[in-house]
Amino acid sequence: MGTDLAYNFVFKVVLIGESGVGKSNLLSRFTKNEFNHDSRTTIGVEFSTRSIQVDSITIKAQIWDTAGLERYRAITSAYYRGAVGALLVYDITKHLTYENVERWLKELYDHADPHIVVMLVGNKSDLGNVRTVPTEEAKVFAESKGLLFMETSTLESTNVESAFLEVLTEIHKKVASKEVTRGSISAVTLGQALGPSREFNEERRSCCKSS
Amino acid sequence: MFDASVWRIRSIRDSVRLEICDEPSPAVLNRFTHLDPDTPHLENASQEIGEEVEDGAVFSISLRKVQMYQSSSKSQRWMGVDSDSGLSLYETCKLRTIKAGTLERLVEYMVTAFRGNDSTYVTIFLCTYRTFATTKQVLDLLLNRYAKLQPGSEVRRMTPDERTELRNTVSSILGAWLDQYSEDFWKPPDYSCLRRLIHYLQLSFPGSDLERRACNLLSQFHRRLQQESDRDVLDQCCAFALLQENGFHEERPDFLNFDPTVVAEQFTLMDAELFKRVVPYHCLGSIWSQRDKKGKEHLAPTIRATVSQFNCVTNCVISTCLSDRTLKPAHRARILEHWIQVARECRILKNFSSLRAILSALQCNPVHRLKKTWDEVSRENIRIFQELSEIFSDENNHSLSRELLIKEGTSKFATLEINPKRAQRRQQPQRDLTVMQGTIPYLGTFLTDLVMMDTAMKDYLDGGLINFEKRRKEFEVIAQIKLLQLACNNYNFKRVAGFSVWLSGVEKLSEAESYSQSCEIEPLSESASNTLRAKKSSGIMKRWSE
Repeated sequence: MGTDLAYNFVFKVVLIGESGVGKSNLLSRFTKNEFNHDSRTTIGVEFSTRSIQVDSITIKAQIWDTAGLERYRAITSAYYRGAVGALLVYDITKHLTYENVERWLKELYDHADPHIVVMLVGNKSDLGNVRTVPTEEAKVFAESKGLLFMETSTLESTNVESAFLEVLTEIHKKVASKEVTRGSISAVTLGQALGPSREFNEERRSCCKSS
Repeated sequence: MFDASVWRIRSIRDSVRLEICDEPSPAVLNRFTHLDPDTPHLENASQEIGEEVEDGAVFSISLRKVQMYQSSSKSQRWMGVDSDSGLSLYETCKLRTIKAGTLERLVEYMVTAFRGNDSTYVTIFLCTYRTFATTKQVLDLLLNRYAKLQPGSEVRRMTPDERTELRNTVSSILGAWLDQYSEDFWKPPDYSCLRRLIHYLQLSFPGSDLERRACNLLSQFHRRLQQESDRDVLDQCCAFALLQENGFHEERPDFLNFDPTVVAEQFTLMDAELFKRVVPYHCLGSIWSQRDKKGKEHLAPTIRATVSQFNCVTNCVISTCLSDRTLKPAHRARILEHWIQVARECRILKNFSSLRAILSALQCNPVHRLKKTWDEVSRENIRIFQELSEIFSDENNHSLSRELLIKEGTSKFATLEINPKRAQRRQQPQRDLTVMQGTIPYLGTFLTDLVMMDTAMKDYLDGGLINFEKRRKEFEVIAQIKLLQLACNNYNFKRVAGFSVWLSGVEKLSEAESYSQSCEIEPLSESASNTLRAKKSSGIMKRWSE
């Protein structure tokens, strides 16, 4: 298709975390403008992308959420492929969702680019419940793992924008400073057709050239 | 009745332009109306000009251009020929549709909408009301208040014409409900709603066809309850792979012995049966996203069945591709190529579900990493594989697969751009292109859309009114599903018993098993990152294997 050439980069960012922590809500809040734009004709068509400006550069954020697809076996396997950012979401009112953060982190690093930018996001999606995960504790944990950290509320839309922007800015910094490998940069600028040849290149890269 | 209404004209811009514009709108994604050639392209000629707020309800006021003379016949529109030589006269109508309201007002509006111009309202209401009310609530409101036909103060005030009209309206609404959503009344053991309805019909419509249908339904339910104690209604896993296992050691037919056309047809037969059984409103975000909640494990069984079939096809591909680790790469490549041919046949049959399942399986890591095998796959097959994969490109939120679905949804046959020459060269007899073919969508796209729509739009407006506008939007997706379900009746394949037996015998591989099997076929290199990969966390597998 490629009609929309008004951007310099496409960054794929995945949303991960236990079900019910408000991932789809975060996504919907962040892409809201485009979701509601011309709602008569484009039902749900642009809920997964949003373009933002960072230092006069336009970044198209392509945000992946497995909403409704968790049971399709092979579909989810493509989820991490090519992702350069991740929001690892837990619910600050449900401690169990925080306890599982480490498992998600491991899964992410097992499948994704080692340079992936990860933010730990403590979300509050429910009005009634009380906090069970102290901010300090999560913050310290995030620092020890080298993750960005933020608390959001999808109820009041607090920090949703900042969380995504910080992740996208950080990815841009990495790309701009060439900190990432060449291969990863080509993964950042998506747009090539999927197919074995390209995937094999990626695989070869991870076998032979990875740090 | 609406004397107390307050007009709040927000803007009347464009209302003039409206009357002269006559361009058929360009294909718009996700508009179900475009699937229906009988619907003239007037959809976009409807313009909201204001809102009317009443006690307990908000109405949208719009202008719609209505063509008075239809110059072209149906068949001409089918062909895309719109000879507009004759005079077309347009009239602009004021349209008043409910946007939000209390449950009382929404139910009441069913009766008024029927007479007015909001004819689809009843359909949308019946399809989506479960998200904001119970069957009992709606039935009680309808029968006790708005459909009162028994002599009473209100009815007495009506003229005979009004009374007849109300009778017809009520009969149509209840008829549609019984026809399309009889499941709503499945409340064993006492079936209180159905009994309530029968009681009403006996009083108000004695001896009617409607009464007979309601009574039939009750006896049907009684029979069903009896049968259900004996067996399960829906087989959760691989609905068609029910045949008994004959022990592993018996000679199994080789996958390569099945013609790709036969495999694709058999998958299509299974997919079509399951897709036709899908209860469309179960796809609504508010219902489907509840599936993992405690106590909701049996929610939306018809959708789960299509997902199971999808996973069954995926497993079948992975399993056959990884079978027998002693196979030479060249031989294994034949299996891959065979699957690519099956995928291609699925594309011709417009079976996007199995097509996606096969492609996803070929792209999944255990199969995808078999470099030596892929090197032996012919260029032509690689090209077909890549072209087919592009259909499901995530670019622009899967716009390509969406467009294809709209374009081919109810059309006669697939508009194949992939190498038509090759199709002609093939030995097998050409498909009869005059015979209408069905279309099976990959349901996942609809499920995601509906989950996202449910997330993005409020159920209730600030004043506590039910946001019916949300339900209208959701219904546009549901309507697409319904249309495709109808189109599915056009498939006409016979079961091949040998294939079902073979399919049921395919080894079930978990995510971890297929990965380790793949590593036995082509060992990992010694790099650190790959050792990490070998020890995949169990987390992701747990969720993948149902």
